[in-house]
Amino acid sequence: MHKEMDKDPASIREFFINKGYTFCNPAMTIPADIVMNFMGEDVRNRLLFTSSPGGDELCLRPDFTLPLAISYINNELQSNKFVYDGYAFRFPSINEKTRYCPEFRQIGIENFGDKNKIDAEGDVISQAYEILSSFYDDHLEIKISDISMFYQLLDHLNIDTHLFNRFRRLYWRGLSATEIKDSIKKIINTRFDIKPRLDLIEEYKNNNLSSIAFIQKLAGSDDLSVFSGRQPDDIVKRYIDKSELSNNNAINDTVIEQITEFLSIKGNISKITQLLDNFQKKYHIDFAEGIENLENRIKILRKNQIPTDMIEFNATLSRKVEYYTGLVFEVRMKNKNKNEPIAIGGRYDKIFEQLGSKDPIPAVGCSIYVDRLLFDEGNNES
Amino acid sequence: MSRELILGIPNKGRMQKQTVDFFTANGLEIERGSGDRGYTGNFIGYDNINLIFLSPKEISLELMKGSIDLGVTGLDLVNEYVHLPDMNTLNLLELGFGKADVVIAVPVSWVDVVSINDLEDVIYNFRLSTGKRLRIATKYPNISRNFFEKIGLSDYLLVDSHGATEGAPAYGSSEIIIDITSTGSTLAANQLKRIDLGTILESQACLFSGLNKNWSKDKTRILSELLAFLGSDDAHISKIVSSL
Repeated sequence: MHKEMDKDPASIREFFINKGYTFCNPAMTIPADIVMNFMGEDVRNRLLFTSSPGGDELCLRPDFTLPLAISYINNELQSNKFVYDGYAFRFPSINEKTRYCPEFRQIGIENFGDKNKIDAEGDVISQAYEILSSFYDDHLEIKISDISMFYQLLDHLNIDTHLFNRFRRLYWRGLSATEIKDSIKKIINTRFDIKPRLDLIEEYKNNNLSSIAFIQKLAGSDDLSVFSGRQPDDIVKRYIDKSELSNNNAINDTVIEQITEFLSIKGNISKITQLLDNFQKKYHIDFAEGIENLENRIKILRKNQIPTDMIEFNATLSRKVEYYTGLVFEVRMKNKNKNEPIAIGGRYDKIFEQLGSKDPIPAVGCSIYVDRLLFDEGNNES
Repeated sequence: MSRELILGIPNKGRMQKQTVDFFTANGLEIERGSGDRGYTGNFIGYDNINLIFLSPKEISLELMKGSIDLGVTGLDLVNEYVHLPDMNTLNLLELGFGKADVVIAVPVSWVDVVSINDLEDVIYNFRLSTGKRLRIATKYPNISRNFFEKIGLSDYLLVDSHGATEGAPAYGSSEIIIDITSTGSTLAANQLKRIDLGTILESQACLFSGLNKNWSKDKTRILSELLAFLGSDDAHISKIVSSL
């Protein structure tokens, strides 16, 4: 039995309250369509649904960030910084070894609306580390990355939107640099699948053909009424874009090279500035802001007396949900259950935009998986 | 009782007729208890196999639960209704009828969409331009989800559909569909088309066994005899016996 197992996880909540966070217990159920819109169909099997007597579909909260953000945007909360402590609901994925039941306790913090973004991020990481290390005296490891730098690289590569979006999705899946390289090659080899009708395109460009007529001719039918929400103009535009791409289909190898090389950047935080700097010089991209942000976060950690020798930058670190915009980080125990982080966090400035906010609202936070923290491999092997 | 095998037979429609014809052609004539409305029966002259008449969907579910030992049903239904189908059921024999594909179908008007790669693009752009996820009507939510998970796509929304799925895009309850098709004529009549790499499953009627039940020596012997009767060779039979 480890000494730290005697500690009550409620002390984590108290710690954050003492740091100025307001305790908050958000709604247990959220309208299912909002959850689905955020999480996507691939997690639906892991969510728990119920319905109101009136037939509205509801979802038990799969995390705390979403219900808190909804309450915040509806002006139901009186503060900007929250700590939560309670159960969230999601069936475990196949890889999870620390739990079998769908409910799991999470304690975490949210900081909404703070415009001093880097300071807020540095504080969140520092505080998460401070409480976790006092709670658990094993060595901790922190992995960090900055999603905005990968997006900046994609912009810099000057590729078409199809590839741009594909690369983003591969990246969100958190694959390794080699896996992404293989997938990219596969995408490039399979994408050109039509012999474009250049005669029709020519006619269309000379304004001798309407979009509808263009589509009718290609489809070989004059009787088309089903467009499923897409505008005929858009369909034709995409057809022409695609045909022009297939004329010019040599995606130069440097695209693959730059993406895989960037995603291979990892190592202790003290060496990262140098690696990123080498990369930006080699490929003429301006990472100055990303590098400066990274260094400033580290400065805050040092000021808060957080040891930085256990912080690793890893460019492949990402999140499956797309509202993350900058910092991502996770904390793991060095010697135990290494596959599952005990805390994850980051910056998700797009969450309020996705909820319909007209003004941008910065958001940063972190969530601690209490089951994983308390999980004792020795006790569970039997 | 435990010395007898329970075999689920489809209780209605074309699949019932084709199943009965299949067994009859192989010398196993089906006698249904209390006439044609009975829910149990047997092969005439064989008293160690009990037949039970169920809907093909129920057959899939009962195979998983272990309340029947064998069943004739569609590969599509096993993949849809059985959790981890490869672990809970074993496909013993493809019966060669009920052939149809589970496919993605998009409007014919989407002339720019030729393959699944285009569809990925369109699904993603749909979300960016409308703020909503593209809706896919289907009665196969599990098959659909597994397929999209493999290609790493999650920007869509499934809409439950029971019957007349092909009409969903026309009356606006979904943008595209995933459905079963054999000749494609219903798709065409509803202004829908298949796309390259959009065939999710090639289905047909199969004889399945459940894997969640204790396969006793007696039962295994009866199954081996049945398979031999249906034309399986020794190698196939011993492979199946070792997987039970």
